[in-house]
Amino acid sequence: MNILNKLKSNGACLGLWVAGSVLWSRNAAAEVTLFEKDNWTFSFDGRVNAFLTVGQGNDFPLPMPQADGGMSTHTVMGRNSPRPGQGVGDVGWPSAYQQDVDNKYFAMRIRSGMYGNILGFALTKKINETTTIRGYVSVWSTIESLGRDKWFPIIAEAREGYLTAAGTWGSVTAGRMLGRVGRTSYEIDTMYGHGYGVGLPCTDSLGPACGHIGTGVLHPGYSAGISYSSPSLSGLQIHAGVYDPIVFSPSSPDDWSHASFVRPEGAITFDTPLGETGKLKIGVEGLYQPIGRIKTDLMTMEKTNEKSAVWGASGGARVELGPARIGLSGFRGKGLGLGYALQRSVAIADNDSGAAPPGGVTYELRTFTGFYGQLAFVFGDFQIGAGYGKGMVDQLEIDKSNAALSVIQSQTGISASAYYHVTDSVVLGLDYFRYTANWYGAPLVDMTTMQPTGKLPGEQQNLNFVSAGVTYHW
Amino acid sequence: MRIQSSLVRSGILCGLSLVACLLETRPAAAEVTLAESNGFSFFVDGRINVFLSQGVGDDFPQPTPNLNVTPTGLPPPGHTVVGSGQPFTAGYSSDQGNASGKYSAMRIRSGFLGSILAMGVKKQISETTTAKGYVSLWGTAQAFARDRVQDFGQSTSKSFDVREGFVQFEGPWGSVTAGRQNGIFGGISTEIDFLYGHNYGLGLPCVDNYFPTCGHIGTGALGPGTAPGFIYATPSLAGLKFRGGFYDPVRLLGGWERVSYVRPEGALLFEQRFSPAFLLKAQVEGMYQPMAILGADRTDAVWGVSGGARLEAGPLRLGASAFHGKGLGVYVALQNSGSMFNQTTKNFRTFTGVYAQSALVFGPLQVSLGAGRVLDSQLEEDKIDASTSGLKSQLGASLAVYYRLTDNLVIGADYFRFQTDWWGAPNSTLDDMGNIAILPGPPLTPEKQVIHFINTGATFHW
Repeated sequence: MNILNKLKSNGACLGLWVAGSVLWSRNAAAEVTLFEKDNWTFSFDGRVNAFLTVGQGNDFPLPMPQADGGMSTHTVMGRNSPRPGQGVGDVGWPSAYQQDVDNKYFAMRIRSGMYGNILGFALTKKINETTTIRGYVSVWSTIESLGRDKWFPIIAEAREGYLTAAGTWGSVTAGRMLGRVGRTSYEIDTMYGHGYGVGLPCTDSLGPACGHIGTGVLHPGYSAGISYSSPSLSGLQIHAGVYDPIVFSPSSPDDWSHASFVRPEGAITFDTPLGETGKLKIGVEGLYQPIGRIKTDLMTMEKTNEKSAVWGASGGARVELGPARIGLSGFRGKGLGLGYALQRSVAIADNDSGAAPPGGVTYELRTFTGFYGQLAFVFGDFQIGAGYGKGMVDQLEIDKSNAALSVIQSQTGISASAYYHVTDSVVLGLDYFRYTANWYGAPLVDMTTMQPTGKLPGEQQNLNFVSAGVTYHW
Repeated sequence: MRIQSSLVRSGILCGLSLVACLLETRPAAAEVTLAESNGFSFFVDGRINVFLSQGVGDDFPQPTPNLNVTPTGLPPPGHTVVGSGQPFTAGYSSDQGNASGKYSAMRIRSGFLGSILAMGVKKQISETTTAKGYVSLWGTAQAFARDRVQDFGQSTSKSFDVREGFVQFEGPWGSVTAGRQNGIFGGISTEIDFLYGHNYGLGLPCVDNYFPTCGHIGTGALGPGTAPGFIYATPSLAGLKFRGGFYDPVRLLGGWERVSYVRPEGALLFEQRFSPAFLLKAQVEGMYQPMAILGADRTDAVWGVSGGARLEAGPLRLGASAFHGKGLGVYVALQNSGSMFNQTTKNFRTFTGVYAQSALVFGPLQVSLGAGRVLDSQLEEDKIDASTSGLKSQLGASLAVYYRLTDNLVIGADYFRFQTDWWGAPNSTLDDMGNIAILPGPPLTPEKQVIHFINTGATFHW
């Protein structure tokens, strides 16, 4: 939430657009000061929103039948993932038990948007002429309950909780905060795409929604960390920090369950005005995390330590010129994930024992690539936008010969949106999102030689979502 | 297994939700403005309460023994009693029964409403229209199942339940509320219970393990619960008003899981204070939700109608309400519970409830008296299902005394008698082939449970 407000504030500082840049400049008032006493300032920000979403299309695809028409014997990656049912996106888009007899999906929900309901509190103190310390906590929740179960509690989540010391020397932030890798793409989606919309619901079960995340946009995720940002040098800033490490399978030592070192993440950003009213912002980001597992030799049962690393690089740029807003971004990395950096997902590695190759799972990490473009036009209180993005998964060698598994190939999103600012703090939104997921198709293997001889056609899923709703923010 | 656990969980969790609808009916004075800045007004409201609750009576009943041993000496068919091991379905299930099947237990727990921390932001966005954002966080005094570290759902952390989170626009044209909010259906009966019955009391603990309590909900009053929705309310026209909109659909686990359409709910109400000492409010409500079975063509719908009225004349408070509908549930509309439909045929049962509440208010003192009953119909297939004794009715009778020490502090003592009756399993035996054969005549002796609760405690609200 704070990043959102920071972004909004930046927009405001860029000047007084006559009408065109109203969308962001008006948001400078997004933090309400409640008290000021003895150099302490207590402020409050947040939002409440609700959307009606109608989704229509294919439910999670069934495995392609064998070439001879026989029953399929493979798993479509994502089918066995428990995460979507728990409200966490994975690959593909399985509904929460809403498919009809033809495996089609049609459903309405009333749900939160890309941002949930947020209560953010900040306590700031000026400790000398040049330095302030600010503590900030944000509590997020959704309006919809898990899996359309009316009585499931809505558990509040403390997404952010950090302190920032800022001065002429830059700033240091410590606590739970947004990561760095993927931040430019997320920022573009928030500002020009779905900050007041829904886009792709991350899961059918529970929100908040994803916007273009998972289809070319990589969410940085939240982590505990300590991060330094340099002062701006003509718009150039360096950000570097270390974050709490992430493992992919905490309960299975054979899988990537060891992460002994904190994870460095960093970014270089360049942010400058263009003329009286324009703006250019460029960001490049990177991360590296060593991980390990205990490898068991299936023949000798000997155990050895195996090391690897997750790495990722991302970047993008956004430009505001007149009423036009243009943003482009991309990312690539090993073990990165499609939705958010260091995502626990069935696609992260060859680790699905339910669809293992004959020699057993290899735990080899897959590599992910994404790109995203977003366009918007702002006319007074109106904003219209359109976006396109695609996230892709490289196939491992073992995937090309594992007849038991059809690996996810890509997730594509096409979006259109229209927003109207009724007032400084009330926004009406209408958006459309088309989601397509493609799988590679299960390899065909000669049972005598165990060599691949081809592959089945890849499975595909298409869904269309239309969402309309309202956001009140302060 | 998923169905079973979901039912249990849903049943348990149900209790926490059903009184959320009451927040709206609290006095406007309960809102404390903390700051005003840049046109925004920041306010909080909430309450903290705690009660000592003593329950005495029958533990959940054992199935009535079937004595029809076959001529060859084979044991007769056994049956289960609906609600056994499924709190918040039928009767009062606990883990505290003794060897004689009796229940006697003390708890220190939250009352009809839990501990609530709520906050909101208002802004006048035009000459005539106000925008309000509101979020409420609910918790309880007691831990889950007398386990000191566990919370609802048996997770190992204790967090808030974000019961409400909505934005509301209000003007001379009426109001629109979008987000997680109170339901409409069942609102009048719960409002009566809240205002004249158990606002500062406890009534029936929904479940033994946890959660804010039920008051008279489950014994004639029907809780509307909370859900995300878009609701429009007209302005009052000489006291006449309409509220209506649609809510996020609800799955009924284990049967009716495919719910493609949002659920319309609406109410027509008349409220007029004819004089400072005389108020009348009457309300009728309805809801409808299409349902379908997963991966099948079979469809059906849950529907309900309800209504009631309350009046205040001098020190006297009177309220009466009723509801009827298919697939509604005993405690709350669209309750996930084993009593909603036949688990084999999936046919919905119908539910009917009646509730009456009176109170006398003398200055800071309020004395309340109430009674209610809910009836769960028996399907034709239930009458020949020897494996189950279905829920027939739940009956509640209550007495309460509250004393308002200050504007914000209320102490209370209340008594609640809870009685559950089951239909009784059909009388049966096994035929020569070992199949169940229903015997003519009345069913086995229906099971019955009676528990008395005495509660006393204090509420601090702001």
